[in-house]
Amino acid sequence: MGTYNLGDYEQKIIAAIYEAALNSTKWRAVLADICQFIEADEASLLFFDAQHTQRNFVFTAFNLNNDDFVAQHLRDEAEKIKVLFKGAQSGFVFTAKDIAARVGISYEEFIGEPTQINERKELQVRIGIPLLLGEIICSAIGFHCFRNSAVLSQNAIEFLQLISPHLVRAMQIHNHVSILKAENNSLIESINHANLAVLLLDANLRITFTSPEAQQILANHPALKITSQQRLQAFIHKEQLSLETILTEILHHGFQANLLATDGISLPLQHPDKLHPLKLCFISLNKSNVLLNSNESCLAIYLTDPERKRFISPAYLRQAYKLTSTEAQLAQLILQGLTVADISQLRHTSLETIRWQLKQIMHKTQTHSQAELTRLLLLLSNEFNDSIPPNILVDASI
Amino acid sequence: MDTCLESRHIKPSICDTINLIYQAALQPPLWSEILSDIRILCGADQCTLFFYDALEPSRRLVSAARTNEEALTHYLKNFIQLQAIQINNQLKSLPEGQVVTNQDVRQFAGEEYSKIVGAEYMQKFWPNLKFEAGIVLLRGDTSCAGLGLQNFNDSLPLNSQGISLLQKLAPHLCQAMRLHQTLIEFENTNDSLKKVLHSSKIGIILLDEKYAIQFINHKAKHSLEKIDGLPLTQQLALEKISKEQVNKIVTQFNGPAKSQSKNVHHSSDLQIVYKNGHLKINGYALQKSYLKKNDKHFSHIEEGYILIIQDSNPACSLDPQYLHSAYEITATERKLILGLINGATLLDNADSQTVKPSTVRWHLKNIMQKTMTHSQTELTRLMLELRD
Repeated sequence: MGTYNLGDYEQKIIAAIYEAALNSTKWRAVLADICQFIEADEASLLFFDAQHTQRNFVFTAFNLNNDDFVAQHLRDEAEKIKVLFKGAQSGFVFTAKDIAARVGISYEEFIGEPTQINERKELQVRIGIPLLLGEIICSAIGFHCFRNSAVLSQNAIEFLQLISPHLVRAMQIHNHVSILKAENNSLIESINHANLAVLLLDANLRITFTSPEAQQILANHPALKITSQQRLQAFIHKEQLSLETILTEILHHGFQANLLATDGISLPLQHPDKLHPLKLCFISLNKSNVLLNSNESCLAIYLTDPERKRFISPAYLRQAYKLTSTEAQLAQLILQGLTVADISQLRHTSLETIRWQLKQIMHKTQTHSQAELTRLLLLLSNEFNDSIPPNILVDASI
Repeated sequence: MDTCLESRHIKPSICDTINLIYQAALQPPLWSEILSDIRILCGADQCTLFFYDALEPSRRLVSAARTNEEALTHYLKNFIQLQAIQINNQLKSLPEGQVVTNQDVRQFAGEEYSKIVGAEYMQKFWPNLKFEAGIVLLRGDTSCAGLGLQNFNDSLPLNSQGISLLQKLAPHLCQAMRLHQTLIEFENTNDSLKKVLHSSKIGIILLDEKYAIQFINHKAKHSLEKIDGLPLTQQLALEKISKEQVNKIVTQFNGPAKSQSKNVHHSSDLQIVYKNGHLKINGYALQKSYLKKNDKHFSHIEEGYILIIQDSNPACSLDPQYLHSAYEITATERKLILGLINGATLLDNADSQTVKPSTVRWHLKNIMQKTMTHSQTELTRLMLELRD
């Protein structure tokens, strides 16, 4: 049965390849190990997706400056590699000679510019292996040696033949996992961009995610805090108890008929310094079965602070309703909840002027009362003014 | 593409098998084939594998070299949880990836494998079979996985070469289960995030680089349907918002979400008018990915777009329970407030409820007192913030 024995070293390298497939920071070390074993001076592994560019990478064994390469040359090299290996079998090990026989010129001449950059000038491709060759996706690995060094040994080539199918598989794994990662990333960006104030909690009621807007709300409203143990703490003890009850109930039963008929449940949290309570709205993330000690998010909480100052883009008001910049600023202050008297005082303008301007705004927005105007502005605003410099709001240079 | 290339030094079978193990991790239906290879390599009569996820039954997995679909379905339905719990409890001290024989199991658990899983289990799934060797492949927080080799009662026991071969495959089987687990975790998280986005008050659409819709939440769907009342399909949504429009409204985004709002007055949002209101749509181009620090991915051009849709005249609702617990608002009062936040005037309320304007005013005064607001404007603001 001795023939079944995969050499220890090969076994180790193959295991390392699959570890790197899930954790790409390990590629550099893997490539360096392979280079050392086959006596090559450099290796480069590239993955290129013409559509989903955030998944692209180049890893090299020794050169650290890969980011620039990705930015400037990856597309060029990948497109040419696609042509070079067209119709070839994935994982097939091509020597420099094989490549020259395919295209009539050396790899460096065929690829051109990307191989002329400083770090690669002294190097020559000795082995090239296409790993993935798709319409949109392309992945390959190359092993390089300094120009004056000896050719790679037959043993080295055989070793590469042994591990190449595993490199192919590793790239397939990257392809699969990175699509899910990219989706994850865009979903989180959507939450951040839409300024949603959301907390996610796991089955231990520990907070696993706090959106930037939720952080802002918590910073402004003292009724709720996140403890150092990543748990929620209401300011008033009695309310803390009902908060805990609701959280545990949701966790264990979801939204069952006895708890609530609608699809959500909400809770007000008071604080003596605040006129209006903080509104918490709970959403069960509907896991059929909840186990403790899980890091997975089991429920989400939307936060609403009714006193949060909103901001509406003046550009939009100008564009959609033809408001002048003065009117847009006035609309801003109305949205913030200021009364005509407040505004008159703030801007050192007479009450009559403000009233007249307000009338113009209402005419242009086809609203019939200040309440109706406020409603419109509020429904169209989705930004909050903590990052807006105050001078935009109260600019005297109108 | 999936064949292992011949090499002089080693027989390709083990190399092939390792490779195929990972292929199965990406394509679970292939497991049965791989287990069959492992069974033959190790010289056993049967090889079984399970993956148990406590949270989501649809993500559980079972496979065997010699498949009996009916038995596997039955196992998934009735036995997988039991077995996962027993393995977790009784073989707690057994490290991940270590190959154990029946004798080892006795040392770890104090009794034979067949006793751990019980007679009913053995009879149902392994008739005439006996446990030879097994591996705990994964012991996660909410998941676990294992592999077992079995022989017929009258076959010779597994020889040491078979066991040592299984030992060689073990780290790869473990890594394959971790991969399976990683994929599941991402799917789980993404499902949760989608659910959160679905319950948002504002419309959110995610487009990829080619402007194809990747995700659209309920609110966005509902808002877009208002434009001409047609049911929404992907193409229709794109016709309503053309690529040129998307290009016009997206602000180039490069940096954390907060820094962007400073540029907001440079963006030109899109306005789409419908019968009795309009939609305000603004968009952002996703340019950079924000992954965990130890994951390096680079990007330089747009990866996709986020469109945010706000409706100037949506149907607003209020949670009666919340209004009551926070402000002690009654059902009649809530009705009046609903009218207000949906754009009706006080007198409209009087008409529709066949109540006198003076009664309406009296209610309003009470509401304002309860909510500590001083004008109809202030009340409208507050209630719109609190809408569901």
